[in-house]
Parts: sequence; C-alpha cells; structure tokens
Amino acid sequence: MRNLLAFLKRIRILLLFLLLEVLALLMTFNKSTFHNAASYQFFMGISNRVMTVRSNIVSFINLRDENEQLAKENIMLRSRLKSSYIISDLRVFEKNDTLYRQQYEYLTANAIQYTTNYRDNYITLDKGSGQGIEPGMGVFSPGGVVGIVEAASKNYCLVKSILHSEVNISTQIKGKGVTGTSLWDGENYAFGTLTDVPTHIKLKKGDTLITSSFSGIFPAGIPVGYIDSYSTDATRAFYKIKFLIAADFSDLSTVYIVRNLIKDELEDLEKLKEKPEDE
Amino acid sequence: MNNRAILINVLRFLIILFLQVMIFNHIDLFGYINPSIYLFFILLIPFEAPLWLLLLLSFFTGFTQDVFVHTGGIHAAASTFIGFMRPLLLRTIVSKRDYESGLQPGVADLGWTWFLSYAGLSVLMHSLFVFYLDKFSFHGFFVTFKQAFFQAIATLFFIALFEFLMNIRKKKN
Repeated sequence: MRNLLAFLKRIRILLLFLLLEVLALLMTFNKSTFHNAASYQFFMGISNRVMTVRSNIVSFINLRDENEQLAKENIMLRSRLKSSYIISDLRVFEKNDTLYRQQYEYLTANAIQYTTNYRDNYITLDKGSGQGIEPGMGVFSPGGVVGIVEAASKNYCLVKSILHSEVNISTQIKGKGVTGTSLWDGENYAFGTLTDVPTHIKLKKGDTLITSSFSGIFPAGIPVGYIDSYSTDATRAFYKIKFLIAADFSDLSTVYIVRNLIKDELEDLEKLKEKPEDE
Repeated sequence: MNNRAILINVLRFLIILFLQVMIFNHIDLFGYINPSIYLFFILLIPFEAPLWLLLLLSFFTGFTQDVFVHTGGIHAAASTFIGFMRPLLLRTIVSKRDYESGLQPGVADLGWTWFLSYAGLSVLMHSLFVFYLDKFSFHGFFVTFKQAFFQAIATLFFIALFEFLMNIRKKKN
C-alpha cells in the first residue's frame, strides 16, 4: 500500500496532466451539451459582456458600410411593396384576410462574436431568452442564411453557424424546384457543399440556392449561396455542388432571427406520426 | 513566488487575454490564421512555479480562450500539453547559462537563440495539436499541417515582437 502511494506521489504530475486532458477532451466532444450547462453559462456571461464592448466599438467604426447595406435591403423590400405597383387590371378581387396567417416573425440582433476558422464555428448574438429566443430558431443576415440557435441565456444566444459540422440546411435551386442538403466541409469559410441533387437537373454556374419550405426553421426563399462549380458524386446519380456562401462571414454584424409561429403545431403533428398505431 | 511576481503575472495574463480576444481572435488572415498569443503568458510563467501550478495555469489560460471562441476544450487540451512538455523542453534546449533560480524565461536572461527555440517549439506543438484536434481526422493531412505551420509562424512572430517590445522598455529603465 505504501509503495502504491509512493508511486502515485511520484507520478502525480502525470496524473494531473491526464486528468486535465481528459476533462478538456470531454468538453471538446460534448460541446453541445456543455454549451447548455449552467456552469458554462457563467463563463459565457463574462465573455459575452467583454465581446459586447468590442462589438460596440467595431459597429461604430463600421456604421457607414452597415447603413449602406441596410439601405440596399430597404430599397429591395420597398420595391416589393404594394404601393410600388400600379393596378393593371380594373377588376379588383377582394382577398379574405383570414386566408393568410402570419407564419414567421423576425427579430434583429447583432453578432458580438463569431469565428470562421474552426471545424465547428459559433456566433454569439445579443438577444436571448428574455427577448423570446429559443434553441432551434433560424438566423440569417441581409446576405443569406447564417445559422441555427443552439443555446440561449437571458440576454445572449449562441448560434451554430452554417460553418459547423452538425448544421444541414434544406436547400432548393431557385427556379428548378429540386431540394438538396447543404453542408460545410470545413475547409474555406466562403464555400459550402450541396448534396442530394439528382443529375438529370441542368445546372448553371451562378444559379441561386435558396432555403426550401420543408424545414420550418427558415421561410422559403432566403439565399443560401450561388453555385460555383459542380461534379457528380461517387454514385453518379447525384451532383456534388460547390457553392459560394451567400452570407458574408468576413463581416457579420446585423442579423435577423426567425421565429416560426406555427412551429409548435407542426411539432405536435410530427409527434402524432411517431406514435405507434395501437396506442 | 512573492506577491510582486504574482501581481505581475496576473496583470500580464489580463493584458495578453485582452489583446487576444479583442484583436487577435479576429484577424482571420487567409481565412484561418488567428495567432494564439495567449501562449506568451504560458511561456513566461517563472521557472520556480511548481509543476502542478504550471499545468493548472496552462489549462485555465487555454480554457479562457475556449470560452471566447466556443471550441469546447481544444485550446485547454493543447495548452495543458504545452505546460506538460515544458520541463522536457527546458532540459533539451541548451542555454548559455544554467537555469538557476531568479532567472526569468526570456531574452533578457537567456538570449534570443534560446527564446526562439523554446517559444518556436512550444508554439509549433500547440498549433499542430489545436488544428488536428479541431479537424479530428488525418483526412487532408498536409493541408492541415500547412495551416498549423503558418499559424505557428504568425504566433511566433507576434510573441517575438512582444518580447522585443518588453525588452526595449526594460533597457530604458
């Protein structure tokens, strides 16, 4: 026994080293669980406060560009307003408003910290559960899709960016109607990969990729990217499409968070499907 | 360690961490290079510090960076490794003088050749560790190696620059 204790004492530095390494590796491979843990929220609270200061300084410096970008978006949206159109047909049909129900609601937020150089990248936004943010909500910038909320504290939320190994976006090729899955291979933050598009579809370089209506996280039609190049995958039945990511990750600041107002209803419906029939 | 040494190290930690999270985490040179200058703090931990403290400080420094960039424990793992390897490095790298107590790990006491090989080896090991653990595959082995290597060079450049600036200040005093 005494020998054992003496031995342990001799290798205590090695033991401490192994203990710390195991702890660090556990934190690395259970990131998602870990990010929701209360103890981690404490450290994150400190880091978020520091990063807010930085974000305030940086966004002040970038005000001019930011204004220009938002003004551009305003012009685009304004052109879609009813008042921008003239009535070309005198027969007016009355639309019954109860036919339309609002499905998506938007909140603006600022990215106070984000990375692009790891395999799994995250973005911190300055809106949290206090403003109604919940895990699973979609996030997009004026450019395009940015990510999905993973965890929310009171005033901040952590977003898995589309530059993350676990994020797949249901994507459609605009005007072609086919749907595939876009993901990120971890190499360059400017490019993503779209899979599951059958090869009988004719593609063109520069085609726009948009979110499909199937996910329920994003409204349909938000840009995901623009086709850069494509080849067939190993099965020769599907394309492997490399696309330029629409959101500008070199300069991310103002983003929109999407709340799906009928998501609960959809989820309840999905749950019904999963129930065994004899119940 | 006396109180003054502790105070100096705490201040140094805060200043380096501040620079790291405010500036160096946002450089994104070529899309992936963000120099890990927080290693400068680990490199400058005094020789007298007991090994367990060295390991704990290394872990904590890396963990702080992890919290800021949401990488789980990648930086903590790599930094702990650097802390663990330090005694071995010190034995391997020959210096003009023996590591007597009171000596500081830096250019002033041990010279540029010593400092560059000590910092260079630590930084290289650290960035290889971080990049391979992050990718967690040897797929694209050489691409990752190249990225880790350039990251190490950028980190070493800034650490050497800081060391240089600190020594200018010392000479004036």
